[in-house]
Amino acid sequence: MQELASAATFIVTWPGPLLLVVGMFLGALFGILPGLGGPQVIALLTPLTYGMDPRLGVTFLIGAMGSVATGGSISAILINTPGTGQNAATLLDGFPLTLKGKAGRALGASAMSGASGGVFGALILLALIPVGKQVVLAFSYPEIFMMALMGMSIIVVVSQGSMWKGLIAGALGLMLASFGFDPVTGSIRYTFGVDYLWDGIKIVPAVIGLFAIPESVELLLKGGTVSSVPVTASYKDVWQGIADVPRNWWLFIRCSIIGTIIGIIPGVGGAVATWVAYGHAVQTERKNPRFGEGDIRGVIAPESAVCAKDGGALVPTVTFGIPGSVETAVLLGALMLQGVTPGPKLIVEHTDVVYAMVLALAISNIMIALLTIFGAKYLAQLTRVPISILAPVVFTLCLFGAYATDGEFGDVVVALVIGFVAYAMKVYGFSRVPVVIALVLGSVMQETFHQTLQAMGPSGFFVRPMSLILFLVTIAMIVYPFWSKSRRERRMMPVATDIEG
Amino acid sequence: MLQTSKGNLVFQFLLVIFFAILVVVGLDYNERARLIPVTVGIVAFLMTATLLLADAVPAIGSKLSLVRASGIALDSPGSKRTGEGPEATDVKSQARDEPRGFTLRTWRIFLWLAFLALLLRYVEYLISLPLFIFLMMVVEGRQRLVTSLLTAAGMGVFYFVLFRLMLRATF
Repeated sequence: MQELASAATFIVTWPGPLLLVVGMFLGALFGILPGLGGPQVIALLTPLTYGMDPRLGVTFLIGAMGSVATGGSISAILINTPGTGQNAATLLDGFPLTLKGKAGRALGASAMSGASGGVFGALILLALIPVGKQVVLAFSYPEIFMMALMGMSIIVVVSQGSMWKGLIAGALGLMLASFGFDPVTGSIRYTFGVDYLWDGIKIVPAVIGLFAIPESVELLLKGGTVSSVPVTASYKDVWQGIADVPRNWWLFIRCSIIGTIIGIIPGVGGAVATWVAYGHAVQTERKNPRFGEGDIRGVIAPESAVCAKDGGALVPTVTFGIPGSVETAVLLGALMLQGVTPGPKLIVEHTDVVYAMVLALAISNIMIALLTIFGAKYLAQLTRVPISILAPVVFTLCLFGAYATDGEFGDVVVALVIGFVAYAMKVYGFSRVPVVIALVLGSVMQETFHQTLQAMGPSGFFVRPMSLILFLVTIAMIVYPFWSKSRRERRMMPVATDIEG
Repeated sequence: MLQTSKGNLVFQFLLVIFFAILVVVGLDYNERARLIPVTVGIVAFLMTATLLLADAVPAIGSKLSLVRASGIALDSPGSKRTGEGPEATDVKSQARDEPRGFTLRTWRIFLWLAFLALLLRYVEYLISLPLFIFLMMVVEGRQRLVTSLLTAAGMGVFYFVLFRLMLRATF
């Protein structure tokens, strides 16, 4: 308790608040811009923390890290361009809400679910610190495989239009996920002699190509402004979005738990968390669903998961010194630079630093939410800018964002080629969501599939209790929508017969 | 209404070819490396070929009901509504949101994007990005010169401050 008070004192005492605010602003800016994100902003700020008290250093860095996800949702909602790969799921319902003139409501819901999810993740981090080791060790290859499989099962329900075409799109994503060097088998697959493809198809250029480019092209062809109806982003609209979160509190809790658990598993990443949460919402929220057309629950689910994920990702970082995400990997380096070695001893020797992390994460999420809430009115004005002005700017953000990911020209080509194919998919009725789900989860799934077989044999998937539970949940998630659909059809049949009669 | 034209068949045919190539190439890999991609590739090849057949020959397509089945998400109550309550998707905006297909202008926009990619490859980004914004706004967007110039200059300053000054990006 004394350490918690000491950490809180450091954060609220000058220059703590300044560092937190500057970090939060930069994190939000990097989140908004496609191609930039948490790893880049932490890498940028790390040299500035050299010589700082470790508590202040982590406040600065985690202040930035905590605001990236909410920043990324702003561009996803307003211009259909996810700021980071992990915000791709948000645009499925966020942008349709903007098109309907409800950008304020979407931003309000995103801010509220992000802030609450972030605080939820921070509290879970706080609670798990003493038992973190056991929690992390509960997840091995079979459990990660089953999580990925659970995510894949979403394709069945989120495929818009023809399910057959949705499954083909999912297969396309899985094939794209097979490109490049396979660390388990040591093979180089589908590189066609191109060195760039050794790293496989990266998520950021792929997401830019799949969503941002086709939609911007479509908007440019349409002309006018982003929203065809007057955009309302008064505080009343934003408040409606905020109120949507407590109204859907049970969904929020479930998705925050999903985000935290996926965050805890090292190497799985926020993009997986958002898709699993989104799919979970689509599969379970059967009351008047309009997913894909502007359902506010389609914003709440991924946003609560992605913000809760940060707290989860810090669990393995703090307890083992194993990064739970790319951001925490860079953060790990920054901590070492300050003489703090993450791992089992950190909790004992630097308890106040760990508490500073928890507090900074929670405060940063609340601050970016307040900024979004009060700035929503002005941010929404972006949708009133004529497309002929906005589209060239968005195109440069898209292609340069892809370029900025790693400074490789190949990323620009991938974004462009996938953008063209994705436009054709849009025109010919192929849902693009399964492609991104399979691309995000495909490599994790293939890797852990082989690792499980190698280490435990085929029975490894089913003998561990956690793995078996996840498998059964996946089966239920696939079967339930079909069962529910057939039950609904059976109920409708007598009514139809009566009408015909 | 989605296009069920020649373009649709060409796109599906290209997908069939794409999956076939991946399966054939994948057969060269070792047993473990090819297990998932080749299996998925064969299934995808067969599914796409069936879809192509169903679309190309309507008599066969009408017998393959599974190919035409809609996804669970959009087949649920409340989806694709037209005029039921305040939040329903209105028919007009739905029609407005339909993809416009591959018109001459679509090809021109993709050529603009290819031009931007080439600019990024051969010209320093602090010149290529504002130049592209300016040219596209004037030629494609038919905006006034002053508006285009100010937007391009503003974005140029933004890219300079963020990428050159802060991130020291030199690519």
